Amino acid sequence: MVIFLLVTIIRTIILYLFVTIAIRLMGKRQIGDMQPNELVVTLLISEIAAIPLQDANQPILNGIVAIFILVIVEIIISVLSMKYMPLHKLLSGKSVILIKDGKIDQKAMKRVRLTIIDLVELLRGQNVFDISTVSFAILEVNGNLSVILKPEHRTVTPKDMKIKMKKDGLPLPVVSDGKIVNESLRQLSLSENTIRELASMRHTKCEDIFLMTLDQYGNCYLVTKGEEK
Amino acid sequence: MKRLIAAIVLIITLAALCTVSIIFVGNSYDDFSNDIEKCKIEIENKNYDAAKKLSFDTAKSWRKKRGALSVFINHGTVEQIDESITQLASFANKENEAHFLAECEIIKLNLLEMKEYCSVSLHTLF
Repeated sequence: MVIFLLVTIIRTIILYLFVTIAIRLMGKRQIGDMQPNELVVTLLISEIAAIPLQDANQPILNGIVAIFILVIVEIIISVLSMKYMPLHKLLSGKSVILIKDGKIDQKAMKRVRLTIIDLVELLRGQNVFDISTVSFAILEVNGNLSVILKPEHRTVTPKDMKIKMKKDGLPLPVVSDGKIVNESLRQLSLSENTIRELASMRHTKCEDIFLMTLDQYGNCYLVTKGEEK
Repeated sequence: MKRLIAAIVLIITLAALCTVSIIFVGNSYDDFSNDIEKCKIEIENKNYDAAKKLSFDTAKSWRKKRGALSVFINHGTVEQIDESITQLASFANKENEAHFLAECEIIKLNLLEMKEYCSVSLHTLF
């Protein structure tokens, strides 16, 4: 019994590692962002991984080979569909315009089998409560709805107000839990001494800092250990 | 590009693995089928001692290979062959020809199943 459990534990760890590698190879995407073929591969991988886990008589290699075959096919298809648009359309479908100038395209709605309740729900998800304010609503291939509001209903931007804005820098963690993050220093072209000086200017030491972020324009955010900010 | 390279590496690895499994399982099938056939001939000629010795040798070489075979084929099939090969020597010892021959047929059937597990045919595909 103990041996059997040990075998199960080892098999589970091996499969976990291989499934993780397989999913990493497929690239970073959330379930909601997946194209149909990616979703199919993800579902199949989880099913295939479960078979050798449930049945100890199944060679683990069978599961691993099947998982990697799916990953290979997925990678090849994604590369091919990047190069050939017809293949991309065939596998992923194409986005559909559901609302044009505030008018619902009923034919398009029937084509994508979407009810008005579904559409209103999707619009609410985009903070749109009045269909007449929509200039365009596009149903993307991953099922998300992209909405462009009519110009008079759009949020005013600094550009509309002709206000000049400072450029945003990307804040990088330079000190994390008392340790200097060298990778961030390299990206900001800074030395450890500069960070220590910055810390001493704020009457603290790097070792006492919980988080310190810095961007390329010198904007600094600092939280010391034990401090709640 | 990185993903494509990873895919190519995986294709090569899997192709090598498939080739190794087909060759290894095929060779094992040939070797053990021959051994079982020899055992059958000996028992049919009433050479019980020779059959017993051959059965022992077959069981020994099977035990050496079964670990590697378990990587490629169903463990249930490996265990069934294991059980049958172990029984062969005892049947030869008791000079039980009928049971010995029946067990040989079971082993041959299981060996064939083992070979088919790694080969591509209509039967295995669908």
